[in-house]
Amino acid sequence: MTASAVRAPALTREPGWYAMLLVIATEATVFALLLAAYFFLQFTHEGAWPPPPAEVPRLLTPVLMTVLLTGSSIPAYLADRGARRGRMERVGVLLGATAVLGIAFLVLQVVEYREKLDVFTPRTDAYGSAFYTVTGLHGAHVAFGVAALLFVLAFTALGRYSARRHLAIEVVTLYWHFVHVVWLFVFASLYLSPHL
Amino acid sequence: MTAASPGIALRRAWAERPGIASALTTVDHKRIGRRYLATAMAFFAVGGVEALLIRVQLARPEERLLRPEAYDQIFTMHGLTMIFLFVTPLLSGFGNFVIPLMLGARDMAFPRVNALSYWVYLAAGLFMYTGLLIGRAPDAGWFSYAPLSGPDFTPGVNTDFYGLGLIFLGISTTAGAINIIVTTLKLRAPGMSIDRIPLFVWAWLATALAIVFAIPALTTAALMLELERLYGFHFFDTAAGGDPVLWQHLFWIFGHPDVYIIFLPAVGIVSTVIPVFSGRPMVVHNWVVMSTLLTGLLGFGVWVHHMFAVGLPQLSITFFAAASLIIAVPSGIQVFAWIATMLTGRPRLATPMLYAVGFIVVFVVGGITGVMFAAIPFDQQVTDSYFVVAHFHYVLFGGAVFPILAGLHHWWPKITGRLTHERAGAVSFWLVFAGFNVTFFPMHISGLLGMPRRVYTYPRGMGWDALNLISTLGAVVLAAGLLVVLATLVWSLRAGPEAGPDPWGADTLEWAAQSPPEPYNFTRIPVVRSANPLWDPPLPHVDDPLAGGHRTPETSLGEGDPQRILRMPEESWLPLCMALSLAVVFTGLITTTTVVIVLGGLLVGLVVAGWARPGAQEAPA
Ligand code: HEM
Repeated sequence: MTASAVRAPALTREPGWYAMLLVIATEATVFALLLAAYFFLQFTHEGAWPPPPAEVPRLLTPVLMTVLLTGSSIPAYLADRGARRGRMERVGVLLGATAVLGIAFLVLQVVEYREKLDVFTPRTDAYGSAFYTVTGLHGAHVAFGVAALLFVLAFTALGRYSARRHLAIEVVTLYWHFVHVVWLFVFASLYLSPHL
Repeated sequence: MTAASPGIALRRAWAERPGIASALTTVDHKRIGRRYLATAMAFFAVGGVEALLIRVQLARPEERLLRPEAYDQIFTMHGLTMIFLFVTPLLSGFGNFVIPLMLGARDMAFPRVNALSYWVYLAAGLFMYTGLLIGRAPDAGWFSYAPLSGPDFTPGVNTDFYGLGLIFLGISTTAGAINIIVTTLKLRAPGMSIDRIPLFVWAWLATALAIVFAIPALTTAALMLELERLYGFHFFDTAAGGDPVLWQHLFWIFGHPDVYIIFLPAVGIVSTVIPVFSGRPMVVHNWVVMSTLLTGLLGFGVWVHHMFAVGLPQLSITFFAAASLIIAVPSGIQVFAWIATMLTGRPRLATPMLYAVGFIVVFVVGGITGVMFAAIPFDQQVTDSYFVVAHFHYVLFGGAVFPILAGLHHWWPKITGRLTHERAGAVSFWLVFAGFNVTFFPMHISGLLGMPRRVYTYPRGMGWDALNLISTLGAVVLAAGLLVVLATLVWSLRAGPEAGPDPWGADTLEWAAQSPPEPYNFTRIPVVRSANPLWDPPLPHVDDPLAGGHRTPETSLGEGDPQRILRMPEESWLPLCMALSLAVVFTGLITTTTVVIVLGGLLVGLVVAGWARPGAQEAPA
């Protein structure tokens, strides 16, 4: 075996990226189980769902949230691709754009919570507990994702990543896609399904 | 390059300076592995003392040694300790120590995460035991069924040590599993294609995958429980639209795979020991691999069989009963493969082999009683009786502790560089084997005679007296056997003969390293040409591009072709700091002091940032 035989082919993912994939697998399982629990509570419940005082959720704010988060996945994807192709100039802007969309999502979530908390709280009943646990946990993931994006953004701006060394960017954007996809399931389950 | 120089340069690059700082900052998988083993053994001793207390209490009717409240705490802590703080961490200890060596790597893929897993395990274990120290240990059984475990029926902090402790511990287990998966997929020696991975590593790979998907169920259940207990949420309480059966589903979605999480690596030890001491490769190696993976997968399909008595729809029960029967098939394949390997080889009954064979015998009995449960009418009859206690000790003690003792004697020379005493090993085996059967076999009968589990005492004249006394005497013999094991190991450390690199004539790569291995494991990274590399004719020397560096090769997923050279991280304070910060968070949670929770959260954030900060020389985590 010679040294040149063990040079990295340009685009193979590093071990850290696989590790993030597995972290995502466990976290996705948590969300899947929480949503399953939500439906379990719904199907063992007699009478209207959501149970009063909660009402069938209005869709305007959550649809906007969905648009924002879906939109944010695009610059995240481009940032990852840019870093892997060594075009570091645009990566900072793309990470910044992703973070801004994420922050906008969080602002809307606060708006949404303020309305909802007047009607029912996590302590009202099992529906309230499930609703706030799922959306709250997801919101916490968005908040963590935004912090991580700003963190790598800072080091991108400082020029600390390069075409060869940018695992953090790959990992954070991968995580961001996960946060986005989970939201689609949360949206479909908690907001859309009561309309069916 | 002379023959000696790579070793010296490697030593310089890898050796950790002795001392307290190095003990707290080490990232060496062998030191971490040893620590896991020692800590898990200490928890085994504690769980064993609890078991003896239980047995003394039950030795005769109307015993008043323990008050009912104390008894509840002790059997709950016994179950929790054995399952969560002893078996899985001990098997992780073997995994940590052995897997990189077996794969021909110089460390785990993420050495600092590895250290983190250990510190979190230790912190979570101490956290759970704080409950016992202040006399408020969990007391609702190891599966803490709702609504019993809810705020109305179990007020006080006891069950919070359970819920929060398990969430805390889950971080360690999950991180450890991810580390093992990536190490196995990416850090194998050049030439170790998928079909050449050793059986023990396969077993751990299947286990780790099961952990990744099973622990979240436990975490989710415990999260809901704690939100309900600490913050007044409702998930399991019917008055507010909740449902206690939800807890049961979530718990057993975790709980049944967990039986295989305990059992698969243990079986992997047996599949390692039997070929070595039969002097031939495993018969139908690939079938054993397939059945290992299948067992891990099917483990997820059978959770409902713990709930046959709950009153679920008939069709779904039938489906799960069928799945429970099917899972016997891959286990059967493995049993036949082991027996065929012994019959067609030249078996040597050294201590590890004794324990492996003892395991097979016990396992077949435990398996048969297990299949009996899948017959639903039978299950309904004996559920929550001592028959169940007998069954799961045959599976858990037989299925895990015997293999663990096999592995301990098998790898002891590698870990310490010294041999154990063979005759003492045989004595310990026969004591443990006899003590085990005398302890647990009578419980089948007392269970069939109607003795319920989890009772702190029982009235005279139910026909249970003699059986319980026999059980308790058996437990004393069992304890004596385990003490002989301990004595054997202590003797070996002091006076055992030097082992040399490969005392057993084994086939896998850990035996190519020194005993105990150098900090860098291998002077030259081995090149692999079969599933039994040490039984192949040796290769000619090749110059190694890794000589001297703090590095290890990364290879491709399928073929094990070299891909890149990974720089490995140096010692670090971050893992310990992370574990301590998490401990602050959990202390805040259990005392419901928001300030402390926030403070802990900030500390965690700081450590994460320090960890992720791109360093001057970027190394994998
Ligand atoms: C060292 C010898 C052991 C003895 C004498 C022993 C004895 C017992 C007894 C008598 C009980 C029933 C208590 C009751 O229902 O009132 C029990 C429960 C239990 N044991 Fe063991 N045990 C031993 C080792 C183990 C091991 C190695 C494991 C696991 C790997 C284990 C796991 C459990 C579990 C999970 C429970 C159920 C606790 C509960 O009901 O919540 N035991 N043990």
